[in-house]
Amino acid sequence: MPVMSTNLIKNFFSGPATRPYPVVKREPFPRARVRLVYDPDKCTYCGICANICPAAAITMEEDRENLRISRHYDSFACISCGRCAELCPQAALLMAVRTHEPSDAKVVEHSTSR
Amino acid sequence: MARVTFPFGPQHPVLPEAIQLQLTCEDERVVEVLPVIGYMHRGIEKAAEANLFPNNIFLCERICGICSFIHALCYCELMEGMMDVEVPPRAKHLRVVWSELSRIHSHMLWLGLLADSFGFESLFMQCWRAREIILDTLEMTTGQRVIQSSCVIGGVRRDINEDQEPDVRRKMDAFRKEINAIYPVFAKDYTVKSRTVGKGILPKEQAWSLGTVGPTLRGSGWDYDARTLGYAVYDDLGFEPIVEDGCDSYARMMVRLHEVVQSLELVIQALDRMPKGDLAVTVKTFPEGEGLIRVEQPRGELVEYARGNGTAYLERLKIRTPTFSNIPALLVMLPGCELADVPVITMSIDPCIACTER
Repeated sequence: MPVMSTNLIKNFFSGPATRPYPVVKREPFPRARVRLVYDPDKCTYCGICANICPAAAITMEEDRENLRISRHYDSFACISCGRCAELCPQAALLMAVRTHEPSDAKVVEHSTSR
Repeated sequence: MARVTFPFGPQHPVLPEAIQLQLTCEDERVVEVLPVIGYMHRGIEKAAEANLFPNNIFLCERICGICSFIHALCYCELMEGMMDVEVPPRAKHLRVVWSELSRIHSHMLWLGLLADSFGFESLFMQCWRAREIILDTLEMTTGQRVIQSSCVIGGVRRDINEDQEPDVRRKMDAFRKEINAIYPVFAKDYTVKSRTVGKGILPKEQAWSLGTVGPTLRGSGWDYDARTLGYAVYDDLGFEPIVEDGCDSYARMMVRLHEVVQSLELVIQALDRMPKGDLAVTVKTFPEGEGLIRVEQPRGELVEYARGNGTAYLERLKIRTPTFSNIPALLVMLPGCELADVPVITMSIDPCIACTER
């Protein structure tokens, strides 16, 4: 393999292409779309996010007796498409660039309107 | 001599996905082959009928992890055609940039896997290291590495703005250096040539009559590429299909290798010509009637058919993926080859089984 030898010699003297992961982490790109962050104080429970969510990760439930709306978000069903964050009129949803922390159990986030 | 039939796959170290080849051998020579598919069916076509039609973009992207953007592009172009939506020129250019980046990363992945299939591990690693530059570019511009989700009906969701464009060009220059180092190895190296030249012959006439598409067809001397139909802005970019006359695994490999270089030029051209303007138009109608579209994926021609009834749900979405057309070619390529060449020849059609079975 004489043609590959030049590459092998170059690779031998250049640094590694990988990084020792848990110690050195790569900086995320500023516009990466990784995790959905929700601010319940800004939310008006309009339901746009629940209507357009392609994975049905966000659902809204109406309690007509107490005049309340509850919102449920299953981060494990979320496909991080970011469509809800784009369309949210109150900017209550944002896409964060950092990944989730490892989790032991599936957690569904609940919030209810006042 | 006694014939022995045994299964090759569905779980085999060389196969990235689950497909079974029932090989009948006489000694070390393959006489018959029967591909068996059906291990990865997910019912995506049926699921598309239960979804709101704009949400099918995200579903279509998940047909295949490698050509995800082009699946979304195909679905969006189909819906736009059915609803008579005119996409802004900037969005068309951005679509070309991302689909060509997808093509490069798919071909680099395949070139690595081909090198891996004949045990050339250092070349495999070098290809995948080069591919990482393209994945970083995709993440930088669209937000995600593999499933870009940046195409919507009526345009695109993300932009390559003025701050990012120099970074993209820098990444492309870095990638050009990498591909310049890899190219001579594939083109000239003794190991690569001895395992690919003259192996898996697909004669020119049979390539057409079996209905093969993409680099498998172009490697057999046919000048056929769905990008010449001129969707997005391919008609303005002066695009010429790459054709090789070898009809063997080496010719198919060289088509893909040249396409990587060509796609790189197309990305740069699209960036140079990118006009200013809107990214998307608002779509307020629903798809009605029937539509059919063909676009070029890294593996070949992708055909989508849809029937709408004027509501937010489609009546039918049919997706014909390129590997589905390329699998019959294995029945011509494999008989007569040595058993040790089966992995390389199977890889030479770039099988994507997740696409095929949807």
